[in-house]
Amino acid sequence: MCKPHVADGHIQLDLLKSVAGFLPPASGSMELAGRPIARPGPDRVVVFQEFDQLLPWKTVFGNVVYALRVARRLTDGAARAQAARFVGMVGLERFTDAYPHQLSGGMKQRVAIARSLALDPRMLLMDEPFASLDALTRRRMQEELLGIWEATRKTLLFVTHSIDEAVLLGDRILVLSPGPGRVRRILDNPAVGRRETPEGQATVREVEALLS
Amino acid sequence: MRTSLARKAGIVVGLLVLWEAWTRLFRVSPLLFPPASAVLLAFGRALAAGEIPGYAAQSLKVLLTGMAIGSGLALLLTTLAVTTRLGGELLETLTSMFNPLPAIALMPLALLWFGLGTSSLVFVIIHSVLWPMALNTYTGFVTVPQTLRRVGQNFGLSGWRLVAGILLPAAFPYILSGIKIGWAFAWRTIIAAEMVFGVAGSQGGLGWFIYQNRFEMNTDLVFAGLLTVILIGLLVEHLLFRWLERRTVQRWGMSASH
Repeated sequence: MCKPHVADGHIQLDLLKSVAGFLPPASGSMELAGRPIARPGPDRVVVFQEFDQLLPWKTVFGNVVYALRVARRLTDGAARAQAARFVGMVGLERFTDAYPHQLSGGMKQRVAIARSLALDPRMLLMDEPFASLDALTRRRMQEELLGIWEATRKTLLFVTHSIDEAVLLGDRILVLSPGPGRVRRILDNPAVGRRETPEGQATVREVEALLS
Repeated sequence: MRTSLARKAGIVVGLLVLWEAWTRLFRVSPLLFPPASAVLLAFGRALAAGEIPGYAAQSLKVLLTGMAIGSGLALLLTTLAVTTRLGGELLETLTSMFNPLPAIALMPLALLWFGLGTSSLVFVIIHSVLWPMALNTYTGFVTVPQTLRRVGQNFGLSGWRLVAGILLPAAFPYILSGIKIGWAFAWRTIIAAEMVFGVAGSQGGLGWFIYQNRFEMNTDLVFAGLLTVILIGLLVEHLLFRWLERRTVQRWGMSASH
């Protein structure tokens, strides 16, 4: 579905920024479903690593509703119904009226994920969204994301520095190498969601071998 | 908090008592320094007669007009400054040139250009609010985290829609502190300016009220006018702005770090 033709000078985050439309590729071109990517747009929604991606002046609910109204031009009623569904999906019904500064890091990332999913993008871009979380929360968020992915089957481009995370979440793993940045290998991962199985461990070893 | 407020009220009462005692014990001429009780009585009378509210309303009307135009211009300049490089340099040059220039110093020019009237007052007020507000808003815009800008762009916002939807609310702590500084400058300026310009049309402002009563040797009313200036300043700064902060910046967990 997404065909990145990145030549060189780009590593993981730059790849994601290019797909998002924040950064033009140094050479080559970016296409999504046959149409060139020229600028940022709500068909490719990014979940950032930074916790400050929520609008601090809006509540949890307000953040999702606002995104739907601006990016999808929904009416207030439609946006509210949609927002309620996705805030529920990430388990934050009890916090709909909380402001972002009242939430923990993991909850903020859940809101960001809910907001992105609600926009129903062609592609969800995740820029190390769990990197700033503690290990336990990170683990729980990975499992939740797997559940959401199985329920929605969205195309997801997830950038991570963690091999474990890649093998747990990715059905295809692009191993990138820096300077000049290029795709070293594209692996099919049959063990998605089952990292602890022998198959999963085999993929982990394969990626480790590629990176060492 | 509550006991501190009570102590401060005690200080005010203590000062009033000292003032009253001093003027009575030493038989100070009420033309020079009327006793506290006379001032409070005069204040009460002028308030009840609608005299003080009328003058105060006139001052506030002119001030709000100036602040509205000033903040509009500040918004225009800062939007230009964040969207173009030349605009940024223009804003920096203009603010560093005009910010140190006291508004009062522009009054002779205002008289020359606009004559005796409300427009001269508005001009001076615009000058006193425009630069601090532009400077603060600009700082606010510049310090908006890149992530938030990108989130806005990701929603498909650009140009003025990005400014209105993301940059303005994200910079609000700075804008609010710009409004506070602007108000403080403007309120002091308008009182001073009204003494020079006098009456514009049928109704003068508080500065004119003070000036005119000095001329007629109603010293108690001069003090009452000063008291009104203090009271309105306190009300706006400690009630209105505090309330606005609680409703916005505090509720959102945002703050401007200067």
